[in-house]
Amino acid sequence: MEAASAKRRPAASAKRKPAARLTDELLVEILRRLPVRSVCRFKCVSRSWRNLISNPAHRKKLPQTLAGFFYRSWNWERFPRSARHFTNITGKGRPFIVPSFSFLPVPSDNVTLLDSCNGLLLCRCFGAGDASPPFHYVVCNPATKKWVMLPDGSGEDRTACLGFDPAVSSHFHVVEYVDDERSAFLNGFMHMLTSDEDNGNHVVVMVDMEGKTWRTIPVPTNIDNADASKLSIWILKDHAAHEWTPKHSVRIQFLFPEKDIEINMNWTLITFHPECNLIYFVYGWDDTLIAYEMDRKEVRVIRKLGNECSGPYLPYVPLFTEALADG
Amino acid sequence: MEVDKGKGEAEETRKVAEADRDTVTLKSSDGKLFEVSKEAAARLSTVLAGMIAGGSIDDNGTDLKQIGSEALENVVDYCNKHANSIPSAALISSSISFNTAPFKEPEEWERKFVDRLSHDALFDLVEAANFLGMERLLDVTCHKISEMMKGKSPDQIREVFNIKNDYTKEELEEIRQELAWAFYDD
Repeated sequence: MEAASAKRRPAASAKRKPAARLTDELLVEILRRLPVRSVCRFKCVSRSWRNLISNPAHRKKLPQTLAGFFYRSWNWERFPRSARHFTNITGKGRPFIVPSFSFLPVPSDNVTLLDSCNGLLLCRCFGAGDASPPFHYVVCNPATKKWVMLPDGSGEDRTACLGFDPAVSSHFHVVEYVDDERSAFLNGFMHMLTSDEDNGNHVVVMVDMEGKTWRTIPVPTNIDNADASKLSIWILKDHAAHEWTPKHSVRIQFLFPEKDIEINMNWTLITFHPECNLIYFVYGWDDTLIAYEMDRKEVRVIRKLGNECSGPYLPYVPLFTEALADG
Repeated sequence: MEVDKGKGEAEETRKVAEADRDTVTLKSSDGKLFEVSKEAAARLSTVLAGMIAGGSIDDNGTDLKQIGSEALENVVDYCNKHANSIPSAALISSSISFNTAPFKEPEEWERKFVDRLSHDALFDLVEAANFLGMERLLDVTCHKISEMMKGKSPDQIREVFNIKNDYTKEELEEIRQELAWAFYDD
């Protein structure tokens, strides 16, 4: 074993380097107190450290970050026509999560993934129990295979979103929208991008999970008039003062490996990496997964997902704690 | 802290004394003796608590062959300081829990206690705390080491842990590419 050989040094040096004698268990105890960025960086220390950090038993204790994305594919010649996939963030290796969801109470084909938030997934499960309503919402944690079926929703095919923050509470929230909205859950608030009824300008609406506090934040005027050929990233520095600061701007053309604008029209922003200045998106007819690094202004092709694939592309950060509370 | 114990006491007297004493004597791998508050030892170390309850404490010095004198001195120092600073029964636990519960922040005196230690002494103390089942001390020492590792490069970590880089150049370059984001400052 590499780990053992790395530790078994000549007596003299081992005596002087107590750090080299540490057991894996103790190393994990130390590593789990570090930011996820440090832990990932230390995979470069040696093979045995990489194995230690990636070991499933240790993974449960170590901080986690974006592991990859769930997505779907369609093929009319295949049975079943629709399939669920998971790609690792590296684009390589066995998927971190096998997206069969065989632990759910309905056949795998009857599960549609809707949203992902801090380790939990929101799905629609068809055909559980009697025929009405046509589906139930299920919130599950694929890392622990725990799931909760929600009491009946509207039964209508609406946009539904998940709000969950394990650092705050083991309770999650499911929000069903009447309109199709883009939203994100942050600091206990669901943030939705919508337009002002009066003037049609874009606004971000924040609502807490009791539905008591609603706030509307105007987006910077320059966003509405922005140059369509650029991707601009703004940060909401101060919620109360509605203060947006420009963070980064890049010509969209620069993001694509092929410089033909016609080909490049078809691109979808997936997510920001939670720990760093990386943007993930898919682009082109064969749905190439690409990462753009803001700091270095570098574009990296991760892999081609293939032209049969389709969204939603759901970013996934594993959560290994057992807790999963209702509502 | 070294204790010079007279030998040849009558077995009877010894047993009585053992039951009455409020300290226990611990012996390091290199044969040095240390005296520690029995109450604090039982409260802070699951292993010592078990030995005290099970009567396997030796008045002439309980052998702790895995722990060197430097580390044992720190352990005893920690126990005695703890005895004075925290109300008893506050931190009793039956086993070390390697769980994902939020960490308790070290207290000011605990910070100072580990801050003055050298790298080597710190790692020795982690091992000793683990061996003796001292959850709180393990917490404090692991916290200190993790703070020391934060922001370090893989090269610096190899240096501290005496690890040889066994990746090929190409492998390392590939991993660095994948984990490029992890190489910005913490």
